Amino acid sequence: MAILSATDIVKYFTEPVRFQVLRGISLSVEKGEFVSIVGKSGCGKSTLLYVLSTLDTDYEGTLVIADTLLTGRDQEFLARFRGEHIGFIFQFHFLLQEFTILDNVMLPALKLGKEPQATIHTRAMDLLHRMGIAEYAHRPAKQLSGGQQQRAAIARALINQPTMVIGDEPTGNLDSENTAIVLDLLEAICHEMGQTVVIVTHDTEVAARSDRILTMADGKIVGEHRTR
Amino acid sequence: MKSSWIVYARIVGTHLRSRRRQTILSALGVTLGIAFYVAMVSFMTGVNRFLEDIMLSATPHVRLYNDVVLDSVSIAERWFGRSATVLLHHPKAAQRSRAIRNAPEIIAALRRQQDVVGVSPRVTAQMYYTQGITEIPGTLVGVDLIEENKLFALSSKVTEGTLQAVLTTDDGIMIGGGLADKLNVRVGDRIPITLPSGVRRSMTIAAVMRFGIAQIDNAQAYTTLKTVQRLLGKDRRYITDIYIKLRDRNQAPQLAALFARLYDCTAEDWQTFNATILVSFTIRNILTYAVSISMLTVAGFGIYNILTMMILEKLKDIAILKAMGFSPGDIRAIVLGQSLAIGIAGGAVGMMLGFLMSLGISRVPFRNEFLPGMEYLPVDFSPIHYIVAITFALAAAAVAGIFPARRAARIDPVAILRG
Repeated sequence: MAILSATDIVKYFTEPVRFQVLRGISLSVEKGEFVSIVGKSGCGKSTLLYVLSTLDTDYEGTLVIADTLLTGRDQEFLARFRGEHIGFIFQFHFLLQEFTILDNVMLPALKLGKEPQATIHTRAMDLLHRMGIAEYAHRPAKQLSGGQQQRAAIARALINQPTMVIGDEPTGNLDSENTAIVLDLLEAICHEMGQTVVIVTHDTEVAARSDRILTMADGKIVGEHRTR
Repeated sequence: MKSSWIVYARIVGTHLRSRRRQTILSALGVTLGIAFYVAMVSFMTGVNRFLEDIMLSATPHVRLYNDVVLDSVSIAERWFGRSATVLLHHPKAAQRSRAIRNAPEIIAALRRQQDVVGVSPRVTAQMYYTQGITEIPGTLVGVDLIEENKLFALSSKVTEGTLQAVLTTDDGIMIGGGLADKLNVRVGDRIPITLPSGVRRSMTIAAVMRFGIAQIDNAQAYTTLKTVQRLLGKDRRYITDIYIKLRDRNQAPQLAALFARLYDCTAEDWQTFNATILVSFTIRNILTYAVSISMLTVAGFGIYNILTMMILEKLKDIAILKAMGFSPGDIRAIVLGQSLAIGIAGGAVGMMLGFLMSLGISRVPFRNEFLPGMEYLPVDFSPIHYIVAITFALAAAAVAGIFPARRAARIDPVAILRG
């Protein structure tokens, strides 16, 4: 069963000149799958990722995630959908620097407001334990190292038990030790927790750890490779 | 919905705490604006009320009298009708009695009125106080001293002698303080007066009064109704003015019109004969508001600046929040919340400071011989000033916050997250 399906995604950049970044991309991702998108910089892989994540709404084609048509929806709807179904991991950790690690992790769940605060707190602490940074829970984010912050960001991405986790170069800014930790965690998310992961990377070693590799060039998917 | 507000409050609190100095500075702008507003308005209102009380302590809410009128329609015109051409040169005001017709009946009728608290008849006469060869013009006012005392607290204005003495002394009068100083007379002295009719009489000064109103203190003397009626050679029905106090002084204009119609005389309300003073009150109020609003505008710009700066600094945070499921509306609420938090905090401290400043002003001793009854600067402590102040603070904060809030809500997260 496809958890994500995109059909004929076309997108133009208008700055500085009109330029077609995505040239009719169709893809579908199964539930529990770990998919990585690779390609040279400028091939449109990040652009595609932001379309798939619903943050970028300026495209043609249709996007369906978890049986919900997302094309043409308003910002309020998409914001709520993201909160419920999508967890983000970025290249530069992107935690809220003044907040504690625990607050960073809890915030998306508090915003969603589906569960009592105590439940959210317990789950956040569980996730931080899993990421091995529980001892820093009450420290402001800015006091932690890059690798620790990225692990906190993964915990934040998972707090609402999202349908999909989307990563834009999630290991791009990490040393090899932390890269290994993050990759182990991403793999565990898919294979143990049954969540779907889609990442963009240009690191072939990272891509090799995923279930399926999609190669992009000039705004098209030009290759597909299953690793297992 | 409720949980949303808790999340907003947490983000607002953390962001403001992380920029403590700027937050405090911009809140300080609001604080000063509100404090000065509260202090100035309280003081201004206190002064206005004090002056109004003084003014109303001596003036009736409605005054009935007979005005000198010029008949615009001559008798010839009335007789021949409009079709005839009547040429009349130099018409003069008719010789009409200054007395109100049927005064005793009108007084009795007024006393039965629901809206009327008190009625005081008076007879006024122009005269000269003679001291040696100098003659000082003035007015002799005959009043029902007991009734007048009930309405205008006459005994509290007496600085020398007593009200009783005026009643019990033969030809006793109570003269204004300014006049007493000018004539160099004290209680017990006799003072000759001359009426326009040529009648002369020597009066005994039984008391001295000070109202704090120059027109009264420098020119008037009070005595009994009967004394003046006798001096003028009139009977007991001769009444020139009727002073009326109302239950609600704001109804004076309507009731004055009604009385004029009912009793066929001229009726004037206190707003009309104190129009210039009331205008000066209004102008003072406008000034106060103008100064306060400009201060709050400056404070508003302070808030606007800090929010704009904060947004520029927190572009990344806003983008992350949007990615995590915060909608444009949520972002708007957060930024507006920051603005209102600054406004409320600054406003609350400002109200306290304003209260302390008002308290300080009300402790400043201020004595003036022309304003009896004033010992300290008058300050009005009514809560309405504080309610208006906090409303102003919130309005300034909301206006200052709305544009940065909309700007933050429009931020495109993709452009920022992609770097």
